Amino acid sequence: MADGGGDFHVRALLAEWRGGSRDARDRLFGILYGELSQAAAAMLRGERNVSLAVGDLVHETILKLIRLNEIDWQDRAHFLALTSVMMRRALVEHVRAKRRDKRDHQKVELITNIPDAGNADLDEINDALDRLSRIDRERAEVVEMRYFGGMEIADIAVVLGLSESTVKRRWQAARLWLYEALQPAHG
Amino acid sequence: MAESRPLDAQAMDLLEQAMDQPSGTRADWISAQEVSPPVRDRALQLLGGGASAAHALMTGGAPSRAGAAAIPERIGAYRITGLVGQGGMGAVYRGERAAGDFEHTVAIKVIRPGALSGALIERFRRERQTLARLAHPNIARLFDGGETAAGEPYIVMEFVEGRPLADWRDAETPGRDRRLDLFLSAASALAFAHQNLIVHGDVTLANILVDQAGQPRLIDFGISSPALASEVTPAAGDGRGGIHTPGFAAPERIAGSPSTTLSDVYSLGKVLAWLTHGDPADPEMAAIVARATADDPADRYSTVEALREDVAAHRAGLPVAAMNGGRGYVFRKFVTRHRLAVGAAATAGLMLVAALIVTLAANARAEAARAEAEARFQQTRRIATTMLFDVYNEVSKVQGSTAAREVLAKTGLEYLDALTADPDAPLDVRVEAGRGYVRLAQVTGSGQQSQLGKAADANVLLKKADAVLSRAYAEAPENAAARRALADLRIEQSGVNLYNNSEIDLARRQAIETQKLLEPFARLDAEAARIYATAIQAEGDAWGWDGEYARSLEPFQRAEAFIAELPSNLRDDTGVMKAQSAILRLHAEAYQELKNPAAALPPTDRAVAINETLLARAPGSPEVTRKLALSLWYRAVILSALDRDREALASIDRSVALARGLRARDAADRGATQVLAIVGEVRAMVLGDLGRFAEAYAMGDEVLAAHRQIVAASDNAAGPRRSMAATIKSLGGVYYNGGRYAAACGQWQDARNIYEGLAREGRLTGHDRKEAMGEMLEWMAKACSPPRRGLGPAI
Repeated sequence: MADGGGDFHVRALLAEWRGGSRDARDRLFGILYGELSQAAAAMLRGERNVSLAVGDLVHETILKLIRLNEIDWQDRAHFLALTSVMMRRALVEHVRAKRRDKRDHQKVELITNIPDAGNADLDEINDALDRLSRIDRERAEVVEMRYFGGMEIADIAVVLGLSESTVKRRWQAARLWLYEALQPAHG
Repeated sequence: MAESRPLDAQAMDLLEQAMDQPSGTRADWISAQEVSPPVRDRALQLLGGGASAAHALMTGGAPSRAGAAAIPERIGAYRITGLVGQGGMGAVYRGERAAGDFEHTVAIKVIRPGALSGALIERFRRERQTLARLAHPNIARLFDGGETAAGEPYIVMEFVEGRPLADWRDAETPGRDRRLDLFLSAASALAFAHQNLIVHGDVTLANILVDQAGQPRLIDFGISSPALASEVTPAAGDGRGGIHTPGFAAPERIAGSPSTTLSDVYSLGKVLAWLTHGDPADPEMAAIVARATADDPADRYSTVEALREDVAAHRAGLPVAAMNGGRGYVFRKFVTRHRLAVGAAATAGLMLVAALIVTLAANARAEAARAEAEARFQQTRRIATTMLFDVYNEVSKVQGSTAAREVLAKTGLEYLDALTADPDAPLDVRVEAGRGYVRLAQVTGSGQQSQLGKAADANVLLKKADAVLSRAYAEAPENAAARRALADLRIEQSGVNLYNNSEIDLARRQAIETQKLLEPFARLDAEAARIYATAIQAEGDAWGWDGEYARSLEPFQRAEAFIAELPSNLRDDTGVMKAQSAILRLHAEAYQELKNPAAALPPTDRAVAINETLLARAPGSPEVTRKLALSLWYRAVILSALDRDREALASIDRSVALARGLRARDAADRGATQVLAIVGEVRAMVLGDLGRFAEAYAMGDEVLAAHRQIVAASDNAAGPRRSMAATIKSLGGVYYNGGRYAAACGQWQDARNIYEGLAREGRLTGHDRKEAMGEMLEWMAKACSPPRRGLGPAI
């Protein structure tokens, strides 16, 4: 893990972020991405026995950090949010890398009668989420935390300082927007 | 302020407010808001995504989209050798099974948790065996299935080296004849599945693979998702909604109905349209496609086979049925007639009778279908009747036939459920099915005949019979068959309530109702006479079970008088004689309970004589053997009460020998076990009376073991527990008479525990309370604290 100085730095940045500084969040991301992306990559390579339980992975990492006294329990929700951002980036990079791979397997549908957006590539979702972020950054963050990070509504509410019911409504509305944006008609 | 926000952000603001409204009213709510029309329209457009959006973007769903599933090393007995592909629902792996020198490659589909509804997974589990038996060269075999350690359902199927239909046509640009041949093979496979009661449910280009030999292989049978269909409503109006593969799902499926053979016809018609798309205009082919893909299921080909035949005729240049407009009516009638079969096949899936009818549907020419369907229906009735009555009776005579009888009973139930699934079935069919349920209840565990001893199952079957027969009788009280069938049911219910459920008053009312129903027929034929006499007997027996023996004498005398006045041909009927023997025995029992053994002996002697005659008529019959054993047993009881111990022992020895013989034939026959429990108890007592205590204790142990077996097999029903308590009480008496007071008190405490358990459940009868338990508590008070000779030398 990070050295002692980094430890202090992480705590200070988390405190700043709790105080509302997005800049602190972005700096934290830079410090911790290497660490967490390794865990994400291991999951993507199938080294872990996970059934796509991204939340479990993140929680495990957080518990480890708390045990190492690198973060406080009260920072948990913010840390989850951070890992959601990382997970998004790691997943998109993974998809892009696969696309470059000549031995890429064909995309199959197990059950074909699922929604149209079920066939959308993660890269397309990523692009759509970027577009949403330009329209409404907070709603995009909700999607990032929920869809990429698997976060509970309650934790998202802590990070955004909103009520749980507001977060739930935002998630529903943002999801509808995203779904519509992923329809083939939009290219 | 709001004006400065982007249109979409404002639309989402509006959507969020709408989320506080009930889900069905949100569109109306948005329409009613005073906002700028573009914002309102955009919000409505987004709302149209509906539940599909939730399915597409599930919490934590991103990794699955990235192909991030871990590739497991093993799934079940298979070693995973690679990832074939990945989709929203989970992943497909290539796997190998190495078992001895036998190796094969399989495709394993792992369904992501939550991707399928619980109901669908349950259905899949249920149908897996059937799917696995679906062996056809154009169907990818299903080998296995299960759940991973993480709880994900998986399916192991034949690995098909091939490509989806669409890729095949793109890559090979096959000519029209080749495409039609491929279609005919695929249609044969689907028709075969329908004959085996498997509906595909999602016939699409993606689910038809073309293998390296150029043959079609259908995949994914039976895992289409009607449950999803009901959860997700198609987005209205914007032309893109719906969760089915666009253009392939039948309209009724999109509306939420389950898959049927006719929805498969529709989808296959769409496949045909796609396969022939781009060919020169062809009115015949257009007519075939139009009929296959008619909006109204009744207007489609009635079967896949009919569609296939038309395509084959067209391919061979013969006239096609689709061009013949005059048969729509016939088809419609045909489908209406077979809604029963189609519905049963789609929902229940496995019924044999539906198999017959679906097979018929696949084979019959439409013109002949109605007549043949009627004939087949009658045949089904005959099979059900034959199986439940004649075959069952024959099989019952065979040693060790319990397992075979269970199979017969189960199969019979399938027939009956199919027959009664149609509420518009003719009265006589329903009456017959109701009779079948009664019969099935008898053999499953209600009756006093040799039986399977499953009381709970019998109650369910009798309820089914009640529903069918009460309705039939209410509709046509003048109909003799309906009336008599209801009487048969009531006497059966009476017996079950008396002997298994301890619902004594209800049993008596049902016995009296049986008599009223049967009164007009009672002297017309032997069967009616037998049941009528049995109903009077049950009326008396119900008093006896309540400890009201004096009141039971009148019904028993009435029953004996009824038989005595019958014409001799009816009186000599085996069934009537069997009933008479039972009445005589119960009549004697009432006298015995009234402490008048001298009056009890003559009817008992007559009962023994009747049963000896019956056994001579049917040597080896388990039922008659049982009756003889019981009458001998009762004679021993009476002789013992008259202190004629040696005569009693001779009678009971013969009885126990008969009971052991019954049991030796078929250890699983609970009726035989019951007889042994009853007669063995008396033998233990008689042996005790004669001072042969060692033999008496050994007999007692054998009897208790039998009781425990019966209680366990009867789902802890009250009746068997009551019987066991009474037996333990008697055996305690034997120990007391043998001078083993501690053992005696131990037995009585066991019996007391059982009685108290019954009392807590409100299942203690008047007899239990007044006689059996009261007497025993007195004994315990006098002889058990501490165990001692407190009741004199013998009881």
